[in-house]
Amino acid sequence: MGGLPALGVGLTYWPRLGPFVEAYPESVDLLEFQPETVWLPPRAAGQACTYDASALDAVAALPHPKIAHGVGFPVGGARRPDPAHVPPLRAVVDRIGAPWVSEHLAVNTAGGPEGEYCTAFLLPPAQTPEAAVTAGRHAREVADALGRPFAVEPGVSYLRPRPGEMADGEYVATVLAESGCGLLLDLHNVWTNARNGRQPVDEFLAQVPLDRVWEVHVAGGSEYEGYWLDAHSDVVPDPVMALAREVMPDLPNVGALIFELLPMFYDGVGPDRLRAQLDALRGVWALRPPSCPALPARPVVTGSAVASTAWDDAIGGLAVGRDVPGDLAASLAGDPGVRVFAMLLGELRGSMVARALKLTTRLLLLHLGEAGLRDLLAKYWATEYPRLFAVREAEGFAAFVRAHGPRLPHLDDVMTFELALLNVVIDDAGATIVFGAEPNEVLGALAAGRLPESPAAGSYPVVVAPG
Amino acid sequence: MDDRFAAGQRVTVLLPPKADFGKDETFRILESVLDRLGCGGCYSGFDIRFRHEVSFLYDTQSKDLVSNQQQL
Repeated sequence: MGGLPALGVGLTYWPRLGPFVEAYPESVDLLEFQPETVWLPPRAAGQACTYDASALDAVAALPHPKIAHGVGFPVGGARRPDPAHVPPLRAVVDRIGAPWVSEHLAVNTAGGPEGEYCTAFLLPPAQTPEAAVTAGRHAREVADALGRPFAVEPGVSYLRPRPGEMADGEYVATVLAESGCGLLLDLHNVWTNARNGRQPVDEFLAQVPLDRVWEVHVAGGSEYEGYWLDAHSDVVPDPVMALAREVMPDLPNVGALIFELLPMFYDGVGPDRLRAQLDALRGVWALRPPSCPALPARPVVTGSAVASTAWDDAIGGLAVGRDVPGDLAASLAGDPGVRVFAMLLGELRGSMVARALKLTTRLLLLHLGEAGLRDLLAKYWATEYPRLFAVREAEGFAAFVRAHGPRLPHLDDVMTFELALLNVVIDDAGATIVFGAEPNEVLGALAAGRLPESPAAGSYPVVVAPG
Repeated sequence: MDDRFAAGQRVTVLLPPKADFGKDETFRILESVLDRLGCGGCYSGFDIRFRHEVSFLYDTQSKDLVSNQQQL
């Protein structure tokens, strides 16, 4: 394989950051795009995801080079990633012309009494030789199916190191040897893991093959009860910047340095600090070796070991709040890091409902208060597993509320309206919702953050249509 | 946000006519349907959008939310 292009310093792309990217073209050499952010869930069981073509066209039209970073189908689990995700991923990757694609060395599928389910949150993989061989095989299969260079990103684990498990760097090196894939080195992840008590940064970097690093991620985070969280919520901490300066000269095949910032935190950072951050990263980028040589040929080790699903089922079940039998689960449950994952997953699920059913969420908050709504959500989580797509999580929550929730004025009308709003995009078909009270009053009040005040009762059709 | 960056399939909502209603408010929160549908991004931290909704209602000085909170 020849060398990858050296693309420079870039940002994870979100529409919210579009005006910044356009206003400061000198600050951004490339964009990293997360394909699943424009995906639409399957219309029926057994079907593949589709994507919003107009949203993808808008991204493709941006003048920057783009690379692709998957977020929905990690390769670190014992179970093979659903191959149905490859065609839509490949379509997106082809459309944006990404020279390479990356995914996470993590787990988001587990099994329980009712079968397999998605955890929706990236969880740490088992760090055993069998799990590393299995992850390497899965990464290689995805790479072959995509027909593009493929890199894996080791993630953040809030768990303590476990007796007998492979060290973080050793595990990653084994996956790379098995897969022949590249390494997406997230320095904030490595630093976060070390800060939270896992492998020291120097040890990790000594164990992974730095000539396999195709891409570097940096980000900022936040504190939570003694843990540093990989929150992508701020500029890069000084120690991580220092680490980036130290490591960059040792990366002969690096093709991109990406700053990750979630759009919900952009206003807190602001354009001036973001520009300064990218300028500082440009100084780091300048420290890479002067040439980008061809990638060394790497024989792929093809181990035949198969990982047990026990780890995935235990960490998954605990993260989603289920009782999981067995010694492994009992041991994991004693790790306070599991509670961090469970808390973060709860915030994610609540936020999926809040963004998919914004007005419904406001109506419930205004009637029940925050604690009341959190209690309702917790009851829903105890009965239903997470969903990868926000719209599916919203549908599950709405069904639960209809069956078990409080009877509140306008609640059913507003939920039905918001679900129709979402499904019209997926199904490309309109719907008519008949409100039992004047809908302008109902929706307008909630949009303004207050409860409707005596809207006129009646039968009011509201049409939701594509286009 | 600039419409060019809020691209995605458009959705039309037809409400019964009412002259004194400020439609801007409703359409502002409906403008990014795509953001409501899909996967979130890659990270291992807080998704704060539920908390944002709580904060939004506090910011609008909703007596309903405050009074309900105090009763719980």
